[in-house]
Amino acid sequence: MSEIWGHLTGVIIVVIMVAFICIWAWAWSGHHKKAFSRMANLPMEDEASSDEQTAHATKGDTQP
Amino acid sequence: MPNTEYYDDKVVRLFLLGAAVWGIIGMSVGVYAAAELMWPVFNFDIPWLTFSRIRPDHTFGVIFAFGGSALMGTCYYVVQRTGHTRLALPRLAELTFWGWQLICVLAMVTMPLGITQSKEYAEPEWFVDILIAVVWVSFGVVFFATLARRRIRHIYVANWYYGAFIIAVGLLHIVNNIALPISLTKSYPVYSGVVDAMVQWWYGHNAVAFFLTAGFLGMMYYFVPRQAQQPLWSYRFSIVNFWALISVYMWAGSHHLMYTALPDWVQSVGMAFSLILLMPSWGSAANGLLTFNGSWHKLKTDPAAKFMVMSLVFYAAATFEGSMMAIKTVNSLSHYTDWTIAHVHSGSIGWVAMITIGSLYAMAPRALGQPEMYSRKAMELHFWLHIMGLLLYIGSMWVAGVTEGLMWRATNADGSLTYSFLDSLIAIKPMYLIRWVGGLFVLSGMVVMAWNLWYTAADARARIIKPIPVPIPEPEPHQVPAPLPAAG
Repeated sequence: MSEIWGHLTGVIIVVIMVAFICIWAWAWSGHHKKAFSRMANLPMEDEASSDEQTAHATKGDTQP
Repeated sequence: MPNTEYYDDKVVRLFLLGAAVWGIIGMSVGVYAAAELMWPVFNFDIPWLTFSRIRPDHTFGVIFAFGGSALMGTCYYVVQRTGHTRLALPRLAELTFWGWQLICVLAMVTMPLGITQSKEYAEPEWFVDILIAVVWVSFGVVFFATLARRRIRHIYVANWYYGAFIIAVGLLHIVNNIALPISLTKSYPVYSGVVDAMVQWWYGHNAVAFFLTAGFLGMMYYFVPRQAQQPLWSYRFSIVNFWALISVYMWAGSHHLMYTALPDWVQSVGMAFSLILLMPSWGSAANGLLTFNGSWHKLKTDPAAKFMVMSLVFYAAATFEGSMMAIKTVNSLSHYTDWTIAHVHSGSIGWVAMITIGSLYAMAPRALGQPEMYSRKAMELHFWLHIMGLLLYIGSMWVAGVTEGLMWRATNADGSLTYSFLDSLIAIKPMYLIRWVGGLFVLSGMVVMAWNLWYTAADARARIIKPIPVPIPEPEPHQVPAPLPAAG
């Protein structure tokens, strides 16, 4: 293994480690807390509205 | 003029139908191929019916036709719901449906006729590959154009996975299929020898990474919290896992080429990255499972939740197994044996099929204008058929694989092989029978699902579904132009 190759792999490892730590820091920064908690709840918003549900309640052909 | 915006679920319903039909076709071919291994007479000496010809039909059928239809359908569904916007370019979206179906039919017809590049999971010839590239880019255009018109500023994590899936699969497909056509039905790849092998397995492994993992994680990150009715356990952890997964996966492909002519250090790189890969894989599995905290009681009553939880368990199990199999010493036992087949099916029937089925059961009623699936009992039956089939399949293939591995490496004192290949084949024959039975169970489950979907789709077939309005909250739903972007 040539010396340059050794330095190159070393630099790449450091760059990737720093990038990884930065991603953690970005994700954990308080700045995003509000948006993230809204995001975490987003999938639960896909619910049938109450009037849609009443329309279905009268049909009776579906399973309980 | 007031203009209420509605979610575009027509293309979602089309893909739902496509997934149900291709699931049955792809798995039927698999069951037939398994039967041929048990009873070779079933190829009837017809060339296009031999195992070698129909095996690509099974893999293409389940991965790209069934999995692809489910991924594209759920992707169109999720990107609308998480962006509070309808699909951009709905006609192009519908074109991606018909284009994808045409590709699947073309591939499934040409491969058994021997029109093939002989690259695993990339068998279709150049003219199908060009169609795939065109449809795939169109899919990407629809997806990113829809993201661009979202009303929620932050892009929900499921879309990050879907986006990575679309970009990476496009890249992999195009690079791996660069070939020189010499006629309509024959082409030669521009790569040769060990370079061809490395490009092929860079593609092959990342097809697992970005098609069978990133895409289905997109599904998981949306439908698991939705079904558990719990917020995602840790949203920020999901972001770290995303970047870790997509940056590590790309380098693991060479573990498919251990003990080959590939340079040894490249094999070692593949092994090292495969081991690192365990962390983001388990991170996502843990995030999904912990999202069920507080909702574990749902497992008693909700078969869709059962599918999802078991899929995450098998995701964790299959990724652990995969990392272990990438270790050179383990690989020397497992490679070329049925252990690989067990591993692949633990990932595909366990993780991929179960998260898909769970997500389809979660999405179908909403997309089909019903409060729930037509029959909960049928969902329950499907779950048990699927689990039974899965356990029979992977159990038998594990036993067969380890048996083969041990018999092939056994040597006598003078260095000669203890067993002939035929000895190992005879030893595992009962396992091939059990595998076929397992496949039958899984296939029956898919038929039950199709039946259930057919009746759930009664309103859709009668074309009396009310479209679902996009929630555009304040100050009122009829506003032109729409408020952009909303809080969040």
